Amino acid sequence: MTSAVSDAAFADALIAEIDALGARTYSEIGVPAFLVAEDLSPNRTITSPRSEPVDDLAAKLARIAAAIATRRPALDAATIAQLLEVLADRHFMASATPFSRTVALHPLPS
Amino acid sequence: MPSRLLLPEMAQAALASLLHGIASARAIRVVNFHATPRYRQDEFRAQIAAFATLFEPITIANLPAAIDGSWPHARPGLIPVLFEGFRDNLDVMLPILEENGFTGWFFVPSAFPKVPADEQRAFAAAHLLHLPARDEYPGQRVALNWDELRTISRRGHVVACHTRTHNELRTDTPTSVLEEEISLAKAEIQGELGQDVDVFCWLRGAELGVNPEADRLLRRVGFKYLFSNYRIQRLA
Repeated sequence: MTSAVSDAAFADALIAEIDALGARTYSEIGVPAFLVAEDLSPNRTITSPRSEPVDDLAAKLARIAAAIATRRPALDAATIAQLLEVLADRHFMASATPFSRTVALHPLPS
Repeated sequence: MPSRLLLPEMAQAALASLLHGIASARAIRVVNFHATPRYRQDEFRAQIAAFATLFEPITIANLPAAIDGSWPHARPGLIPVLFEGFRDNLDVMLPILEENGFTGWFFVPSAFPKVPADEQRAFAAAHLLHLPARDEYPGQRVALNWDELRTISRRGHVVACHTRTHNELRTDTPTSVLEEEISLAKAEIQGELGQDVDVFCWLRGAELGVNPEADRLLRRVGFKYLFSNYRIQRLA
């Protein structure tokens, strides 16, 4: 029961976070993103990845994807974009406070 | 037809692919800007300065290493992207990027720079090029001109193709439109800059596979990279 409530609260918070991010004025702000690199060239060479803790990042994306599925069972492209946006906002800077809520990075416009 | 993000596969498959890519250390940090008005200058400066403490600049020369896993730096890379070819990208953002050692990636719709100054706001409105809330160039042009783009390129920044008219790829986009938005756009930018243009991005960031005819054309005319909503795809 506790877990179910906790999962519901996590999903609620995620939806609120998506809404808050979506309310920003995208046309005149900086928006962090993680873009996945793919080498589709004919002579592609893939070497070993570096040691950045990316498994953790993937796990975080998997967790929020599972949470959103409880509210929006039909996953679509826009929802994926929102999940990636949340992921980047939370983890782009590797700090405890999400990028969009780091006050020092968002002084009021003059 | 309403605008929407298009994928070349089912959304669940796309998510699985992205999870695999991120778990395989293929996530590249990008920060997307569009208009960069001076009234937000302090915000941009704080953000870019913070990025400079954490990330290395990704350039057109070291992008392959960021893609193939041979990135030589201890710190991850960062691509600051400036979409649309707005004049404030040069006046406000370029000095901040250069103060902090970053390479700017300027994605320009190739028709925008030559639109007459007194028609640029109407062109922008008609082509989903969203100007800032406060007009900082009243009575003047709002787009970068080609002299400025040549200067940006000479200073080591990347000028990339953002179609010709800020166009969105559909599964049924006609061949004539693809030719204009891909081939003609590339030729226009290369003609003005006097150098190759290797990077392309659609409005709304369609990726490879959405429209195979577009994919073939992108490769045929020699684009090497496609930036999309979720991915950076190396084509050649």
